[in-house]
Amino acid sequence: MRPLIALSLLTLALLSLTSVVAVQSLSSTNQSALTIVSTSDALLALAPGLGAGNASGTAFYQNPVSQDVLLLDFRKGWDAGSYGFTANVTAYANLFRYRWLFTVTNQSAYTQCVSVYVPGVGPADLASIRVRAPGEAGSGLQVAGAGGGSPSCQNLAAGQSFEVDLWWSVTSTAPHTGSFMLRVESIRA
Amino acid sequence: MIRRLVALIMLGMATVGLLPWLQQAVAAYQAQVRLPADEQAVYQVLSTNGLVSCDVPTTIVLRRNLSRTDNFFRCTNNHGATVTLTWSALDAGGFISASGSDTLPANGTAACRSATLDAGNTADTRTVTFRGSTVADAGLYVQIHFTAQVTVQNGAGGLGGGCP
Repeated sequence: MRPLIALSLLTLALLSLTSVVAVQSLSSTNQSALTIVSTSDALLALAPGLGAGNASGTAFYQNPVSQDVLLLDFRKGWDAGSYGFTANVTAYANLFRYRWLFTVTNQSAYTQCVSVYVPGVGPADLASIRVRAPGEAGSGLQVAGAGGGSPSCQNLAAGQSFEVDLWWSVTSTAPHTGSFMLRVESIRA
Repeated sequence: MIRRLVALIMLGMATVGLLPWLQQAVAAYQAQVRLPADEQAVYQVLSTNGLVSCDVPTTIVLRRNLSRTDNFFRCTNNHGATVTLTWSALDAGGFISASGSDTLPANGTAACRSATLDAGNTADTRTVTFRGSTVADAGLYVQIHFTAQVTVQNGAGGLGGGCP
C-alpha cells in the first residue's frame, strides 16, 4: 500500500515540474489580453464621446440603462435622421473626421497598450483610426490604417482615457450601405 | 521515519506544483474573456442628402468680359452640431476665383451663399470645382467637393444672380 502511495506522490511531484515550466513560459510572454469591452464599468470601458464628432449621437449604448453594448451608426444626423456620407460622384475624396466619437478608459491597475481596429476586411472608405487625450488638439496617434487594418497599440496608463477618432475618406462612387465590427482590446504594457 | 519524511516532501511538492496550474488556468480564462461587443457598426454612402451636402446650379452662364457675376451654391448641414465651412471655387484656367467662409447651423436647413465669379474674356465651358472644409481642428471635420459647369458666352449682359 505504502509503495503505491509513494508512487502516486512521485508522479504528482514530477507533474508539478511540468506545470512550473508551463507557468514560466506564460509569464515570460506576459500577455494578458483583455478583449473588447462594451460596458461602462469594464476593465476597458467604452462610453459615447463628448466631442462634436458625436454630436449626432453616432456612438450610443444599445441599452442606455444597462450600458451593455456600444453601437456606432454613421447614418445618424440632425433630429435623429438617417443621412450618411455623400458619394464621391465628382471623383474627389470626401473627408469626414469624427473627433471624440467615443471614449476608452483603462480601469485596470496597469498600463495597457490599447488598440482599436477592424478585424478582417474593413470598409474601404475608412481612412484611419486615431486616439488622443480627450479634447486634445492635433491629429492624435494612429492605431489603425486604411479599412481599420494594420493595427498598432498605444499605451494608456491606469485610470486614464483616450478619445477615439475615426477618419473617413469616402471614395465610393455608388450609394450603398455597409457594416463592420470595431474591436477595442489591449495587452498589458 | 525516513519514509514518512520523503512522503511528506513529495506531498508538498505535489501541492505546490498544482497551484501554478490553477494560476495558469485563471490566466488563460482571463485572456479569453469575450464580452458582447461584436455588434456591427453601420455606415451609408448616399448620392445626395449626405451628412453635409452642397450643390450648385447645374449650369452657370457668364457673359464674356463681365467683370463680376453673382452666383450661388447651397449647402445643407445635417450634422447635429454647427459646421463652419471654408469654401472656394477654382477652375483650371484660373479665370474664376471666389472664396469665403460660412457657418452652417445644426438645424438641417439649407444655407444659400453667394459666390462672386469673375468671367473670362474668352467663350469657354469649364468644370469648376467648389471645395469646402471646416476650419477648425476640433469636432467633426468635413471636407467636401462639388462641381459645376460654367459656360462663358459672348455678348453683353450677365446671367446668374444671388440667392433666391
